[in-house]
Amino acid sequence: MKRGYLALILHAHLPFVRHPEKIDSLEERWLFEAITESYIPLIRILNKLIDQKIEFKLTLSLSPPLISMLRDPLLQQRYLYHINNLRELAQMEIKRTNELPEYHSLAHMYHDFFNEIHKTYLFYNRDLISAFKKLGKSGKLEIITSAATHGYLPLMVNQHKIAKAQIQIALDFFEEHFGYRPEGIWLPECGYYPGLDHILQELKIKYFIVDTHGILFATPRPRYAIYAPVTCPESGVVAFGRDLESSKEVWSAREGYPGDFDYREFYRDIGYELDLDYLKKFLPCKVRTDTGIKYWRISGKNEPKQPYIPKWAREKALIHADNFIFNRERQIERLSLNMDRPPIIVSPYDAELFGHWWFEGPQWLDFLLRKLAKNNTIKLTTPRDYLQSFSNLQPSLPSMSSWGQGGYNQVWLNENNSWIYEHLYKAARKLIKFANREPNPSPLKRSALNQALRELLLAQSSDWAFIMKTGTTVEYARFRTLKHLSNLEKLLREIEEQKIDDAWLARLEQQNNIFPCLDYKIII
Amino acid sequence: MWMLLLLIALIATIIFIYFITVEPAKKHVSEEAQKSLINQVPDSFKNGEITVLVKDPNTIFTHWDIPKDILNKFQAYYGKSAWENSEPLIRVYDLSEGKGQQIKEVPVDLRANNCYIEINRAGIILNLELGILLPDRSFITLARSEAVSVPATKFSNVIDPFWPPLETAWKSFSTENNIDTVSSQNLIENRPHSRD
Repeated sequence: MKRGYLALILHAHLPFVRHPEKIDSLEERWLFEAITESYIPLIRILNKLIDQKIEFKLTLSLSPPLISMLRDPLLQQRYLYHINNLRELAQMEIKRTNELPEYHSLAHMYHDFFNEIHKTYLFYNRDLISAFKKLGKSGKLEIITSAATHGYLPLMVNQHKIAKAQIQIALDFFEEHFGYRPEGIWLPECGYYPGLDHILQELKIKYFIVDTHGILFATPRPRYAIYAPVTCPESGVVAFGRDLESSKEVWSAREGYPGDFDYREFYRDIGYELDLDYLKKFLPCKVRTDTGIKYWRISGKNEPKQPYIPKWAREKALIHADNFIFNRERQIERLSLNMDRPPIIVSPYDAELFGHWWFEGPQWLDFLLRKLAKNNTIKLTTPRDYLQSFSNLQPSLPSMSSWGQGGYNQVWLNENNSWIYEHLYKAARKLIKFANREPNPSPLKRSALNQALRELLLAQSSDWAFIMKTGTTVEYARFRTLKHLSNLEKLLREIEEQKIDDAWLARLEQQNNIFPCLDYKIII
Repeated sequence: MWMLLLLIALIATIIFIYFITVEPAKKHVSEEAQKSLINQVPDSFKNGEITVLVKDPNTIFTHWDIPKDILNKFQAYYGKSAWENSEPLIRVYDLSEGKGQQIKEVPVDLRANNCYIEINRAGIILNLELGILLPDRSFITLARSEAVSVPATKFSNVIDPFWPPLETAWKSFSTENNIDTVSSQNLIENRPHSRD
């Protein structure tokens, strides 16, 4: 008899990094790498499980910027060029490593892998959203979404209309692409503040997920800690709490599975190591970056990197899937002894962890889902399915929390990025004022106001503040924040002066083309 | 007689003008006057705003925008000397019990427009006032923030009698201190054997 539930949740998101003005954008590669290493492998695994009639349940959140980019014809065309380049590079690697047996078989592995990815991409006619939709229709995959541009909502606490717009625009956009409104939402970075649940309730969202301490510090104290969801007392929206134990096993690079010595080393890529002349065709503007071809395993501490051995890594993925299940079984057995309902373990992860950061992640997930289909203790579920079985939930209000380092807002608000909030707040206030002033604008003015809102939303993406904190591509994050704010300012100035530069506006609409059906009146 | 009355009226007028222009800071500033000053803040994006954001349970961040015309009006009303001898302050109020109780007063430099404030009061609801403390200790509010909740760092003491905590479920969380969080940043920062 099944004694408890496990809800695996993957959140797929990338910031909107579409750059039609450039031929070879480094940032568009973020998307291309995630398509190759994470999204298509996930689609292939889930399809195979369905074909083989293996029962599973999984929740996938697709953020609006990601949906927009996966559906964009320009990016689709560019991805095809990218994957074809990778196939060619892998072919060259087969030749180059002819006398290097340790690497030669790996070059073949990459060649086969890229060919399979390419084949799948063409099979879906470049449209991965249609692939996800098809999986969603199977009933085994619950697809939800996140805020419009992944704006970090706890720092919009004083701007109710803007926080609401982030959610409402996301839901409308999701419905345009998937044909239904999701029952749940992935709050960007698990960022919740008391009161946000009222916005969710207004928009008919039934559930969201918070980090562990969001539930543990809830009021009144939740009877089942994080092992049963709670319902927000006034709004009635349900909050599921993340399980820390299962999160650490997969998330933590130091203590978790991805740091195993036999797994592929993410940080060693031929893009940084082979001759630049040899690679130049495959690097954006001849700048060294990851190609996706990596020949080494993590290897032991204080030893030189050793060649990657796929068979060993596969065996480890199997062992780690078994270990994950063993740990969940013990957890569920212990909890179910005294609980008057089966416990639920909620395990959310970034989808890009599987494949991109942790190359063997999709393999691990495949093993895990296959084994859980036959498991006697654990039943896979989704939050939607769980709520259909259990409606008597404890009223308790979660505490403000996020899954960022430190658990609150400090990743998105610190000495590296606090300067942005003054500008974001002022811009939002100004835009709301303009929107209220224009109930019946001319078509041109309407377009300008819609684009101004688009620019505000893009400036609000949590990714920019996150990048400024982590210090990886800070200049780009600063540029994106300031560029969108300056576009917005220029648009409002032109509206004020009744001098809208329609050619410039058309270029901007073409460049930052997310949410084509956006209506600025949403913030009135 | 009328000449005497005229003289008295003239002296009274001079005294009145003296008090309202030369030493305005000495007069008592009524609550109505404060409200009237706030009401002079034009309702637009440029004017008299203070925003408070919570960084973590111990720290808040605030940014403000007090336009020059507000400060000019202040100087015109209270006099230059009052301005020079006054102190811009942010006052932090705990609103948890409904009525605001001041818990902190932080001097600020109005030439800056933001600062962090240590509060160390997890679980409260607070708001801020940015204003000027006059030499006579009266406080003129220039901007007031909305209220925000500071997150809790402890398990709630409120127990619902219908849902008493279950020991089995809480066993792994014996204290607040053993609760950590892991995120994508851990992956980037903590990965062993990085390229470097």
